[in-house]
Amino acid sequence: MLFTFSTACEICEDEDLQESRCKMCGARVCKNCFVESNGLCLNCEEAKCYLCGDYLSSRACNVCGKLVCEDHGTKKDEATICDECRLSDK
Amino acid sequence: MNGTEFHIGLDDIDDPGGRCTTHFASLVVELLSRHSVEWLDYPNLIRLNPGIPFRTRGNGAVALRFKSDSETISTTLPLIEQMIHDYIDETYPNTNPGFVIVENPISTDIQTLSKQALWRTIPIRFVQRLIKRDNLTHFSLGNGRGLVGALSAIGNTLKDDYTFEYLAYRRIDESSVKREVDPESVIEMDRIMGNRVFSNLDDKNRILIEPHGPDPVLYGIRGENASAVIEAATHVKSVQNVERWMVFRTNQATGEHLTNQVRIQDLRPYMAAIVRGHVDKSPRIHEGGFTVFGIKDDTSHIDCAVYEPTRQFRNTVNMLLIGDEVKVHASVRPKSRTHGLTLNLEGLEILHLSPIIKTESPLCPECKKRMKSAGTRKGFKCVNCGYKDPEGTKIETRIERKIDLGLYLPPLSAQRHLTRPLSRIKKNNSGKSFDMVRKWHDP
Repeated sequence: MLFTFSTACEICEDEDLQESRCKMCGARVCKNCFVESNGLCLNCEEAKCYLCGDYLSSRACNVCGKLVCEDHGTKKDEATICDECRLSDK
Repeated sequence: MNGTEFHIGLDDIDDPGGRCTTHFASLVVELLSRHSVEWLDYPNLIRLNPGIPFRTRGNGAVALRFKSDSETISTTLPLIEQMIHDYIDETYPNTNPGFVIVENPISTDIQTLSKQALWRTIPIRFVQRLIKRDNLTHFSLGNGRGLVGALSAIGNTLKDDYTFEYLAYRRIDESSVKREVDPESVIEMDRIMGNRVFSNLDDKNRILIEPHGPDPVLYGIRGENASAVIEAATHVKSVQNVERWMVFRTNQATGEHLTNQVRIQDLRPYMAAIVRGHVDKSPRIHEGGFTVFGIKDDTSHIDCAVYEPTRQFRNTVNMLLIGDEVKVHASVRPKSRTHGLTLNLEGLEILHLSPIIKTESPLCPECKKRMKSAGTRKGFKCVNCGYKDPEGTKIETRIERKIDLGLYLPPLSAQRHLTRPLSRIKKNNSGKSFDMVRKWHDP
C-alpha cells in the first residue's frame, strides 16, 4: 500500500493544521505538535541528541541513559556509550 | 464470569543492565491469577517500530486482557505500582516505565495509535494528551516514555497474523551468569517439532533461542501455536534452572511493521518502510565491512546501507547494478554529520535486473579469429586471413546475472523480531481462532 501524507498533521492527524514545518525532519505538523522555541516537531524535540542538539539520536547511552547522535556516542557490541561518559570513564 | 473486560498495557520496565518487561508481565499475571480474573487471551507481546532510538532492546510492550470486577482492579493496581518501583533499577536514568489500563471497548484512536507505533515515531506528549482526554487510569515514572508502548500494546489485539513465544526465565539474581542452554537439546527439539516452531537454529545449527544480554530471559521458543511451544520447551535443557515461564501471543515474525510503501520524499527519521526504486549508485564496500548503494524514485534519491553481520545478504546486495529495480525493506536512519538520511536494510526484493550486454567484434567465418573494424561504416576485416565483411556489425551478448529476482533477507541471527522469516512466508494465522491451553504460565 503506497503511503502518502494527507493534509493533516503528520503526528496527531489533526485536520486543523495551521502548518508548521519541522526544521529537522521536514514534517508538517499542527501547533500542538510543534515546539515554537526551536522549530522542531515533538518527535524531533524528544529524539534530538542530548549533547549537540543538532542531530537526531541513534541510541541511548547505556551508562547515563541520555539519547545521543552517531557523532556523540561510541558503539561497543550492543552497547552505546556517550562521549560524556566515555571521557569521564564511568 | 460476569465482569468488565480490562486491558493492561506495560512497557519500558527494563534497563540495559537487566530486567525485562515480559518478565515483569509474568509477575503481574501471577498476581492477578491469585485474584478473580478470567483471562481472555494469552499475554500479548507486541513488538513496536524497531528503528526508534528509545528502545532498550527489542522494543516490546505487553498487553494483558482479562475479565474482572472493579474491586479486583482497585485492590491490585496499587500493588502493581509498588511492584514497578521494587522491580526497576531507579539508578539508571533512562528507565521510564508506563502502565495503562483500558476498559472495553478499545477506542478507534487507540487502535490507530497502535498501527502507527509499528512503523512511526510517537511522541510522549501526544500519548499523554490521549490518556488525559479519555481519562485513562495510568502510572508512569521518568519521562513517561513507557506510556507510548503500553497504550500501543493495548490497541493491537492481533487480529491479523500472529505467532506464539514460550519465554523461560531464570532467577533475576542470576541474570549476569552464563545461561548455557544445551545446543544438542535445541537441535533435537527443532528436529522433533518440525515446522510447528521456527527460528531456533541458524544455517550452521547455532542456537538462536538463547539471548546474550544480562536479562532474566533464559530462552525463547517461537511457534505457530501455544501447545507447540510448550511441548518444544520440554525438550530443551540448560545449566541454569527455569524459575518461571509464560506463553505469549505476539506479532513477532509477521512483518507487521513493514506494510507501508513510502516515496523517498515522504520518508521521516526512524520510519519502518518499503521503498521502491531503481539502483542509481553502485554498491560500494566501506571500511568496517558495510556496503552502501543508492536508489532513486520519481521524487528523490537515498543511500541504502547493509552491515557486516548480514554476511550473505550483504554479498547479494554487492551484486546489484545500476538500473536494477528493487523494493528495500528498511528503517530510516537519521542524518548525521557524515551522511544524509539513509535506509538501513532489513530485506531486499529484486523486481527487475538490468541486462549486462557485452559488445564484441564478430568472428571471421574463414579462420574463426576475432575480426577488427575496417573503419567507420566499412564493416570488419580479419587481420589473420584477410577476409573482409563490409556489412558486418558488432555482436551483442547478454551476460547472465549471478542473482535472481525475489526476496532476500539477512540471516536469522540478524533479523528483527518483527521480520517475517522465509520459513513463514507462506504461513498466516490471520483469522484463525486459538484456544487457551489449561496451563500457559508457571507460576
